[in-house]
Formats: sequence, C-alpha cells, structure tokens
Amino acid sequence: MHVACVLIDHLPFKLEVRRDPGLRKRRAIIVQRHGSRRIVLDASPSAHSVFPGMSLQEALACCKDAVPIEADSASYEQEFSTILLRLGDRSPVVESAGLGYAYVGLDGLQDTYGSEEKLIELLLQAVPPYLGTQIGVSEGKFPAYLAALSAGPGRAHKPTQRLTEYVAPWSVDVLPIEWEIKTRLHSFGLNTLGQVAERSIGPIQAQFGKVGARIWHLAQGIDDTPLIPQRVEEEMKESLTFAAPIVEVTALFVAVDNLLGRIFARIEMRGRYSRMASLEATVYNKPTWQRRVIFKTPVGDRSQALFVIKASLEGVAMPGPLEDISLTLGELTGESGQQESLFRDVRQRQRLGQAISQLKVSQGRNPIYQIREVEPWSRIPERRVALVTYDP
Amino acid sequence: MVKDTGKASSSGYIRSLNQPIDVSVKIDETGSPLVIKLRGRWLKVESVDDRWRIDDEWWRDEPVSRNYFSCVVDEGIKVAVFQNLGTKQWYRQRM
Repeated sequence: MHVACVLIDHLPFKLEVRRDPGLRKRRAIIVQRHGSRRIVLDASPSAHSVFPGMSLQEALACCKDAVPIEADSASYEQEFSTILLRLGDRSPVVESAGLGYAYVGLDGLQDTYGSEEKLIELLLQAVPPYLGTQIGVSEGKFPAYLAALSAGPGRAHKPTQRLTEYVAPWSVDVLPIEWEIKTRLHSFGLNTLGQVAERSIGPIQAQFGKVGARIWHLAQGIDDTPLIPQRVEEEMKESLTFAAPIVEVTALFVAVDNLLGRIFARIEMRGRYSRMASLEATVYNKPTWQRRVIFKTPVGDRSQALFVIKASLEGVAMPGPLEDISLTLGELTGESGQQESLFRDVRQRQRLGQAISQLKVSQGRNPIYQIREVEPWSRIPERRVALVTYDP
Repeated sequence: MVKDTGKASSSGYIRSLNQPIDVSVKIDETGSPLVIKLRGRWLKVESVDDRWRIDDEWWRDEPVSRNYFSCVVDEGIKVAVFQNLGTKQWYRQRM
C-alpha cells in the first residue's frame, strides 16, 4: 500500500503566528479548556519540554517565559479540513489522523498524474507554504509518517533503503502507542525500533499483548492498517461580515435569516432537507464562537429552519461582539424523513399538547381556542357553536 | 401546603359565537325592513328573500321570540336581521 503522510507540525502554533506575527519571537503555549482543566494543545517549537496533553501549570513550570494562548480549535479544524478537501482533489483516499496529520493513498494514481514526483508536488501545493508541510512517502502509514518526520518543511522524503533498516535507528518514542508502554519499553532497554525488531515477536507479545504484536510489526517497518477514507459530507455554507461588530441577539437572527435565505435559494438545495445547522462567528478578541443545532425533523425551508435555530439560541448569552457569521447546513437529505407513527393522532395530540404547555408558561394562559359545536340543531344561531379553550 | 393564590377558579373559557349585533332598521307598515343602517350608512332593502319566526325557551324569564328577515340590500349584500318580539329591538346575525 503506497501511502503519503502529510504532516503539518505545530499547526495550531503556525496558525496563531499567522494571526499575530509577534509570537514568532516569543515562546507560546496553546491551551485548550477541558472542563475546569487547561490542557496544552500545542506550543512553540522552541518550547522543547512542553508536550501536548500536559496541564498548563506543568507546562508553565517547564517553560516559565511562555505566553499562554487560548486555543481557537474551531478555526484550526476549519483550516485543516480545507487542506483535507484540497488533498481530496488529488487523491480519492485521504484519511485524517488528527489535527495536522493526514494520510493519502497513492495506489493507481501514477498513471493519472504521469509520475509520482508530479503527484507529490501537487500534494505539497495543497498546503499553504507558510505551514511548512512535510511529506513522507512509503509502503504503509507508519513508515510514511517516519519519512515525513525526516523531510524538511515544504519538502518530501521517500526512504531508499529497506524499511527494516530505515526504521531501525528511530526511537520507540515515535510509535503511535500509549506513553506508559513507551516508558516500559525503555525500562526493558528497548530504546530504538531496531532493538525491538531484533527480538522475536513472542516475548514482545507476551509482555504487551495485542499492542506488543503491533509494536513488533511496526519495528519491522510493516504497517498494514488500511487507509480509512474521510467521509465527504455535502454541506451548504454562506457567510457574511458585519459592518460593525454586533452584540444583540436580534441582529444575529436577522443575519441568520439572511444566510438561510441565500442557502435555500441555491439550485442545489431544491427538494433537499437538512438535519443539522452549524453557526460559526469570529468574536472580537476571543476564540471563534460555534453553535450546532440539530433538527429533530429535517427542515426544507427557511422559516422552519429559522424557527428551530431561534428556539435553540433563546437564552444563550452572546460570547462578545461578533465580527462575522457563517452558517452551514449539513447532513443533507433528499427526503424529509419524518418518522410516521402507527398512532398518528396520538402523536399529533401529544405534540400539540407540548406546544400549548409552552404557550401557557410563556403567556400565563392558554391562548389556543377551538370552535366547538354545542347545539348544532338549535334554531337559535348563537346556541349552535361556541369558542372554548383547547386542551388536547 | 399549597398557597392560596387568591385567583378565582376557572374551568376554562367558553363563549358562544355568532351573538346578535344591534342594528337600526326602518320598517314598512307590514313590519318588513325598508332600510338597514350598516357601518354608518343607510342601505335600502332591495328584496326580502325569506322570513321566519322562532319561538323557543319559553320556560326562561326571557323567552326567545324573534322574527327573522333574510334581505338583499344595496350592492347585492345579503343580510339577516331579526326583531326581538319581546323588546321590539332589531339585531343582525349571520346565518
């Protein structure tokens, strides 16, 4: 299996530097919130002792002069998914292995592009030069990853020697396994992949179980794990930039209505329904604000979608002044996909009951009335029908 | 213990529809409408298509006793009016 590993080392940091070039001269730690904890997502390449997954306190203890920056995960993901889409234009098999890592299947593409060099050149062009991508080409994902680590920024590398020889000098730290297992390997004196490869598979497997067999195969330069192509999901996206940052939720609704209008006006949306909407906004001096709205029943028109989005945003505090907004309708389907009920009347009545309960709470009384026949046979017209409060 | 909210208890809202509306009517010597005042304008009755009498609820303090007229007024508008035979007051009502 001929694979290229596209590696963008320190992608979050590089994206932050693009936003604030002054960071290039300083050491920075990009942290992400996990509940009350703040965990390191990435750091400046010069902060050698800081690793992803560390707590911020630990990281600052190792690197006292570093500046902590709050991660803008949404924008990193967006940037990386754009790169994945561009890679997908070059090869039909692209697997995302995490933020900044992707594997591209190269089998059968040489005839299409003329030569492998030409294809690799196109893969390099798929990533903006300032991100300094490294590409490794080999048989299998793990050797391709090692080859990518060997390549310089904006360069590609393909090992020429036998894979067993190529991987042998690498430290066991490059293995895609848990940190504790790496520590145990070191404690057994197995510091390089070559040292692991020299042993027979039995003892390694006996010590580490299923992972042990994988470690041994990887140390031989054998990685037969298949490429799992990324699912390409059709999405409709529209965005707009505000002339002045907005702080009112009503202004946000107007913008969302406008964006929905644009999306539903597209020819591709005719007869289509969406199951999910995603809102993304740049907040002044804050990380990107993101909100996902799931439609219980797929929506096929603007007003229906706006109603659900409004309901889900009711009571949500604005994260700050919004500079722009983009709306994506995803999970598109050709049918409304409404689940039918054997007892349709019962279900409708339940839904209506729920809606009326909500209205009672919001208005203090039941505002829904029903015209009921009281004495339809009466000769006196005003005795025939009456207006009564509707309680399903 | 549940607090007394002081609110009057209510079993919901019921209101009869199509209540009679007061209307001014000028009649001829036979008691048939000649002109009817609708929205501030006196409209001439072109024809009386139908007439009928209702006598009901005789057991109540105010029994129902009405003389109905189905009329066509200016511009072809159909209007049903009746006279309460107890109070001699005229009313309009949809049929």
